[in-house]
Amino acid sequence: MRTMTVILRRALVVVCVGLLFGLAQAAPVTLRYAVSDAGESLTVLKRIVADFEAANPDVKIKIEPVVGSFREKLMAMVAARVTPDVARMAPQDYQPLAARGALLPLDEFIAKDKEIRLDAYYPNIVGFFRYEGKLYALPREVAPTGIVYLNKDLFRKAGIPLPSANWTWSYVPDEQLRQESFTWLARELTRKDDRGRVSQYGYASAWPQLMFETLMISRGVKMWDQNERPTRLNATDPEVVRLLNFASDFVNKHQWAPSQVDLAGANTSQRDLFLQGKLAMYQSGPWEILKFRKELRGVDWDILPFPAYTGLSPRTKGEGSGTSIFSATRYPEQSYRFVRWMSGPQGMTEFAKAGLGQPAIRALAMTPGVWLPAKDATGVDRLPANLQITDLAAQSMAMDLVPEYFRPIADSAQGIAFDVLSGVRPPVETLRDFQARGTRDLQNQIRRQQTTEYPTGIAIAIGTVLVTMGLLWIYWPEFGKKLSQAARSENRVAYLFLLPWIFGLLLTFGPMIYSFFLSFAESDMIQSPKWVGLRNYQDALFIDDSVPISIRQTFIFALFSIPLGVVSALLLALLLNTKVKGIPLYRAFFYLPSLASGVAMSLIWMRIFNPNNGLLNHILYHTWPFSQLGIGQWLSDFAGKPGEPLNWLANTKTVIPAFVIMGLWGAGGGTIIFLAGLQGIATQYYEAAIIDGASRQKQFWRITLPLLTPTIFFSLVTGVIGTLQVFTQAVVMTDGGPDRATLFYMVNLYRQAFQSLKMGYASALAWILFVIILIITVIQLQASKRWVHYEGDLK
Amino acid sequence: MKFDRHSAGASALLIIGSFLFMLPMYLMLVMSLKTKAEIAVTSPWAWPSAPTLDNYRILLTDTDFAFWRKLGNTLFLSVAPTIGVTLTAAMVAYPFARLQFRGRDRLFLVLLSTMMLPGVVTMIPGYMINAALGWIDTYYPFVVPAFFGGGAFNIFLLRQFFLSIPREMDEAAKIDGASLSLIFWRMILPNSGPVLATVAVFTFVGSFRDFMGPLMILNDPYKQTLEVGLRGLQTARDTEWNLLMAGSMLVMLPIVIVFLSCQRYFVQGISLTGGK
Repeated sequence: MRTMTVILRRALVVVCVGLLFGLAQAAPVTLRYAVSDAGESLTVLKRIVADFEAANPDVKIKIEPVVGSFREKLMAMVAARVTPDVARMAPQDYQPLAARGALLPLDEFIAKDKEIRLDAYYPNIVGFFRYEGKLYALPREVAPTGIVYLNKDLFRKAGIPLPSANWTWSYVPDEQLRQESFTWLARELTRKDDRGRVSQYGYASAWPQLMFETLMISRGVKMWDQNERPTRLNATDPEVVRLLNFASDFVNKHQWAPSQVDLAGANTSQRDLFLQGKLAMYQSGPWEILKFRKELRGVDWDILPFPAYTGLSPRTKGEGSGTSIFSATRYPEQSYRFVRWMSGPQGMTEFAKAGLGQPAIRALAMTPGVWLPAKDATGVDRLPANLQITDLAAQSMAMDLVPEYFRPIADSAQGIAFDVLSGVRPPVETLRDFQARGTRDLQNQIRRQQTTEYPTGIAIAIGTVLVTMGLLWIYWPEFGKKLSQAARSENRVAYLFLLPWIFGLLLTFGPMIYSFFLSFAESDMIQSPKWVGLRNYQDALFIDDSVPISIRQTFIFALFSIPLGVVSALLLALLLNTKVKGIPLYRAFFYLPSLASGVAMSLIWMRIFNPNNGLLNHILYHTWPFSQLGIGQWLSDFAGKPGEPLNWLANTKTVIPAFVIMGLWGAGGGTIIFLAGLQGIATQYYEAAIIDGASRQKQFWRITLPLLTPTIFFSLVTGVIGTLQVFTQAVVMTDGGPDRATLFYMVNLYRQAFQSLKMGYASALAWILFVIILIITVIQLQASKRWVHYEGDLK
Repeated sequence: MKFDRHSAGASALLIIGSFLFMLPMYLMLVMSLKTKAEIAVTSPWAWPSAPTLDNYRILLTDTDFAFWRKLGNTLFLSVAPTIGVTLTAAMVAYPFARLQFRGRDRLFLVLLSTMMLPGVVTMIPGYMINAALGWIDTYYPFVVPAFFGGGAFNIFLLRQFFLSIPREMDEAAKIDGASLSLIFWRMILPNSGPVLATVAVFTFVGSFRDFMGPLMILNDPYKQTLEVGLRGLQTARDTEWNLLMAGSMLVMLPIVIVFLSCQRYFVQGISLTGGK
């Protein structure tokens, strides 16, 4: 009997295990894989994932592409603990996640892995992904930005032989070295037409600061003492000053390279110059190769590594990407299998073959038919002839990976380089200013590192008191007031109607209260917040000078934009309310610009404000009657440089007016509201006025305007709220510049929140703005009693 | 029709104004009809040498972009909130405009205050709430809150208009024995066609164009919206101008159709004797 039970029990266990095993076989594990890839890269990625799934039937991959705001989404996912299992990771993004334990170190997996050997990878990209001795992503691709694309036709035309990979740079053109001297080449290859305008540039980097930063790295100087834990700034170091002067002269004085001012718009324009054959040397990363193969037809081109500084070994900037595992994953083993597929030979080879990424494994980068052209490749696929030098470029890659507290200061170092190279600010004073301001910021940042635990219990108590006080403020004044039967029923009906809103208020208030408590803390939304008391508010109001600047610029913008917006919307509405044929179509025309996507419109406007071929300057400088009146010249003398067309978006005096002008094209939304307001005026009033013989003007001032006051009031209140939170265009079009002229309040706040990961400080900024808007709104509400006329108000 | 100096002047202004307002649209159209190579070398203002509808064809047929699927998603994510917002915002605005209740004016300030805190700092806490509710990668976060009053902007807008409707009307209705809710349904709403249409159009456009919301909440590319898909054409290193502009035109089209078909309601005026 006992043996029977034992046998039965054993049988049961066997069946159960078998069932479980069967289930595991039947239902494969699904891994979520977040990527920032788009377009062709995503297509290839899907193919690689399909191969992986075919080879690993027990694992399914769900690709989650995130276009733009990858970092924000990852943060939110980590904060809410809904992270994917695996993600594509960039060196500049992984650190904060690794520091909080959100990522799984890969060292143990790799130690056990017989095929993946870290020493096969380029050591510098592995170093980018090492944090406190541990590896947090397996590198997939390297993207050295020290690659110089040469237009050989332009060299030939100038009668200059091509430089060799051993070329060097120094501060002055070396007449002896000739084509082996970078500065000499840049000078010789720059051509000007007979009116003194540059028709061909010697050199340009994909984005303006890139050249300066590469020069810094190759010269071996930094604006701060060290990357691991910067404690001191060296921005006024003689070598830094010399270098920035050199770069500034290179662009602004000699015009060997185009300044961002000459090229309105985005990074793509330097590349366009190269594509159009107006640029001899173009510095960028390996991602250009695919495009140039396709589009540089009939042009003889090649690549070289960025020159080394005379006497030093080559060092350039670089990026790359890798694949990481989130520590919250339930399937670390399967995730690692996927990581080693994507960032191992299989994934890398596919990407490289498609020309989409230089492999992070050096041997693969050197294998013909993978990254280098196959032996039997023909036509453009063989280009560029020097492709193997991408290996040199990858080996010379370096990166300034600084801790988070230093990020905003490193960012503003980039910002000043951008401003100087755009000719907006002079080099020496700018560096001196940065040294003073940055040092203050740095000391403040270091001080901020000391924090204490958040007193959650006390916070909840204070929160309860505050909410109670709020409720008392709302209901105390009418407490105990006796209501009549009818009034009581009206009260009941009113609250019944309010019910959905009150319910929704609980959802809205949750995050609001949360951010209020966060404003007294240091928080990155990942770790638990640390208590800092009023320090965030003190910093914002008394120390951080970007706050008063952003408030000033925002208010200047609002001061022009709100009244103009309201008046133009009102006038347009009056116009669109006339009885003319085709009115519905006209309304659509005026509303259309407000309907177009914000980003697309920003890009379009950048072309309109373009100083050289933009529409606005064309009208002001070359079209009657403006050209006759000399409006353009007068504007240039007044706000820009005499004799040069005004560069609206790169000029501190004109960038806000440009934004105001642009805002007028969004008047369509306000117009719709005013149109609705006009419909709300009963026709009987006008009929009566016409019988009385009132003129059109009189009708407008006596009927239309007074009865539109509720709409005007609405436009003003929401205009203030909206305008003080202006954001998108300033990020897309000017990124807060030039010289912080469009560093609007929200732009600053957003940077603090998501670039510097200072959510507590950002919350304090948000609540300061809240109070400012609240005060203005209360004043408006009080004043409205004098001028707003409500037909249906309770008498 | 007899010549009217006034309307002739208005027509002239309308034509000039439309021309100015359509200029950015012209650029968008022109770029959407060019090839990538032509955009790189020609002036943005030049009419394409050989206009091509290829960009549109690519977007409409590309299986990865999945235009029709995304259009369907986007339409659902726009229509559902539009219904919720228009209905509940009107309900909430009604007492604020026309009824007496305890704490009304101070609650109105509370209402306005919900617009004053920048969304950047409430984004992640909001995301956490959605995660706690298990709403990530679903459409609930877009639809359900729309039925909770529809946001301060719309409530405020409707309140302003409800306040403009003369009192005489509901006094008369009250004498006839109509209840307060009957007045709302039979008197206020029918007299508010233009402003309700405005709120509906704004909500529709706002949801249709929303980028951050779908980007953060939705993970599955098959649930994604057009606006997010559009941004995929603009990668960090290379913008597909031709496709981006063609996509912008395609995304605008449904909105324009909705707008034009709402026109009827925009011109429906108030009448002191009507509403019954």
